[in-house]
Amino acid sequence: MELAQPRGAGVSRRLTFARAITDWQATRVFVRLYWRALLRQLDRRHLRNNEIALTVLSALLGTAIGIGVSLMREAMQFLHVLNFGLPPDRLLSEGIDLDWRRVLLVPVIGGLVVGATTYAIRRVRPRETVDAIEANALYGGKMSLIDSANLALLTLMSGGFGASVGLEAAYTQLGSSFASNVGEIFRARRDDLRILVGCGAAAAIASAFNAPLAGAFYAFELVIGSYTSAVLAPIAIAALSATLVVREVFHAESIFALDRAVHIAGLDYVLFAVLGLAAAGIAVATMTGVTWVERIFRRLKVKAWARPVVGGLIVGLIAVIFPQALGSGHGAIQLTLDQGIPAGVLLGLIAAKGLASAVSVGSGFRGGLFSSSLLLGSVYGGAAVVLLQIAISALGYPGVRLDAAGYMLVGTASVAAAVVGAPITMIFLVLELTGSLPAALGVMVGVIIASVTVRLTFGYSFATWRFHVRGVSIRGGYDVGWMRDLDAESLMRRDAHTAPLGMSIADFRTKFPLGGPKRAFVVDAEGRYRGIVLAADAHNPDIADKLEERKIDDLRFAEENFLLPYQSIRVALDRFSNTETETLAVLSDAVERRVLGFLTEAYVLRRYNQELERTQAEEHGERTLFGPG
Amino acid sequence: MRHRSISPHYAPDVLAQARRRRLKRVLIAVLLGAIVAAYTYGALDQRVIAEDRNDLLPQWAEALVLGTAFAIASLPVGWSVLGRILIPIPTLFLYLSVFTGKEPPLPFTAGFVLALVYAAALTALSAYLGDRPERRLFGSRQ
Repeated sequence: MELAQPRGAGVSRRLTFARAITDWQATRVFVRLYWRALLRQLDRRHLRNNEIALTVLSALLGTAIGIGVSLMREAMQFLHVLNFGLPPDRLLSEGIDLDWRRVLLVPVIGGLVVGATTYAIRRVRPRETVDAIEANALYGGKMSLIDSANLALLTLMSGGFGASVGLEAAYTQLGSSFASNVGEIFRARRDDLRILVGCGAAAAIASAFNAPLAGAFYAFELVIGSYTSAVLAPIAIAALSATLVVREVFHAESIFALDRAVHIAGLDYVLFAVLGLAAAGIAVATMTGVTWVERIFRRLKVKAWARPVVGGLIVGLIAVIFPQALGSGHGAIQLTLDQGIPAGVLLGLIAAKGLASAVSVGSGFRGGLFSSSLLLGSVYGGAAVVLLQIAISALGYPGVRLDAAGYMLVGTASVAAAVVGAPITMIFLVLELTGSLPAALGVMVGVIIASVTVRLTFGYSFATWRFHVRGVSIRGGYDVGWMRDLDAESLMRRDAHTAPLGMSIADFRTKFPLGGPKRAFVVDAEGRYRGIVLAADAHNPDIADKLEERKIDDLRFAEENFLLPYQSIRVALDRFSNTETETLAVLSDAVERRVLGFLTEAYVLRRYNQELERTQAEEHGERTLFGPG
Repeated sequence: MRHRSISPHYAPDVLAQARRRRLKRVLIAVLLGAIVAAYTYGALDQRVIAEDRNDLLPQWAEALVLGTAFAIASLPVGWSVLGRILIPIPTLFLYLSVFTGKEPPLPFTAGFVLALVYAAALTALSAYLGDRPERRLFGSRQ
């Protein structure tokens, strides 16, 4: 049997099937050629024009990411068994049968390992890792796989040595960057790449929590920034395939489950709203606590590599009393729901977990607050229901019994929604993990109140708060990167006419007659920009006498208002609005002040509208927002 | 002859800003006091050995006293030193009873050292928070 050579393969020898299976070199060439041919078949044109191709790719990505997440989870459990002498069937944050010496020392050793590894990585790659939200907002979905792998490694180390962080940040980072890099192999266009990044995050969260809807909506709310029908199929399929893999292949269980029905009455909804309000306070305190800890470390001039060591010591000191504060907290959530922790301890655990998480992240351990906020919320809900029950009894209604499980679920979802910034995700998470519609309805009240309160008072989720602290001005995953790409240099007109400072109006009128250039840029003897003169102003009929003596210097404006080549369209629009001018010069720099070109407000506005329309159309999977004709 | 220091005049918005900053620090001190009280209450509730639960005051009152002392010690005022004096000894004894009374209990020496660390940490943290940079900005005595 003879195999046809793939078109455009570029080899002179013909390959036969017999040669391919007997000759190793021939086999390699054979596989490579057919791999290239396959890539050509699935290239950009197919991804761009065929939603089915994108959906198939997202299913494959979801499967791979599901396997990756499961392996990372196993690696984390292995580290816990190794470091804390934990029985293999136990979770660290259950806090059962832990030796106090290990609890105290392991996080310190972990701090040393994480500090040294971070130091080594920073020396080789001294830059911030771009996460999924930032990549989609600013970089058109492009992410570095090496940076992401480094971050995942550090997160695994942090969690494995007991730092109070979750692995979800590592899952989404690795999943998104894997999807992004696969997209780049297929040369996916900007919007497809952004969708693939969303697929990676959706698959990661879906497999982490065994909850496909929560995973999909995590991607919509945080990573893509919006829900449209165009992105529904690939993201939902990625989340679903990842969940199926972890369920069927790895037999993963949910992080928590409820074995009884939840009973919610009218009064409960009012109390859930109150619970949501306080949850917002806890969320803001935890988020700002991280920054506060970082500030203390900076003020005390602790070396960057030593900060996780100090952080590990503090976490260890907390965990000797509250071992549930160790790790991500998955084990402790179920323990709380089963009411296996006394009420007084729950109250202390709110403070302990919040402090441990803030110290862990603030001191330089890597990881996120997703699962930490879930535990924080569940213990808060557990403590709150005890206090509310006491208050109701004291008010003379001892017969009114509150359903503790319902309050714990509301607390869990409210705090997590406020910290993560994904309210619908949390409602679906509770619905999928408990299967209880009444609980999900109750959760909806608390989550909405908490999210709205945080948005109106604080204005950030944990991810966007970290961007804010770093000076990156983005509020979500929606694409604003095109605004950075559209800078003054790429937009400006280069046919700028200049006139020397001190030129007479008569000469100006001769050089720039009516019907010619509308404006001239005044420059001094050294060629520095000194303002704009409009031809209409110079030809004003009111200026009729002493034209030879009068200078154009008096007609100049906008001497101190100009743009620099790197400034974005957004800055340009702000500048036009603030200075109330219609034209701005684009200068080489603020010192040399050489005129490179100019921008008019009308043109900038037109380009801005065009780009907005294009972005919106692409988000909806269309070429244009308007129909034909 | 002693010279009386004349307090300089500041613009109303500067004074308002200073007031807001002081209020913020007072609120932070109160919040941190509540956190310390909740943490201590939870820690005290971990004790299962009866003789370690035999306290002078009810558990909630002890936690409240320690939280209040911490809040006072963290205030940006001169008399916050009173709170700082109150913190170390009660913290040492309370947390010693936690470490030796929890399940499983720590050896006495280890419990004592850890309780000492807790006492020192709370005192040092309150001293850090009670530091008053805004006073220096307004030319008060150093």
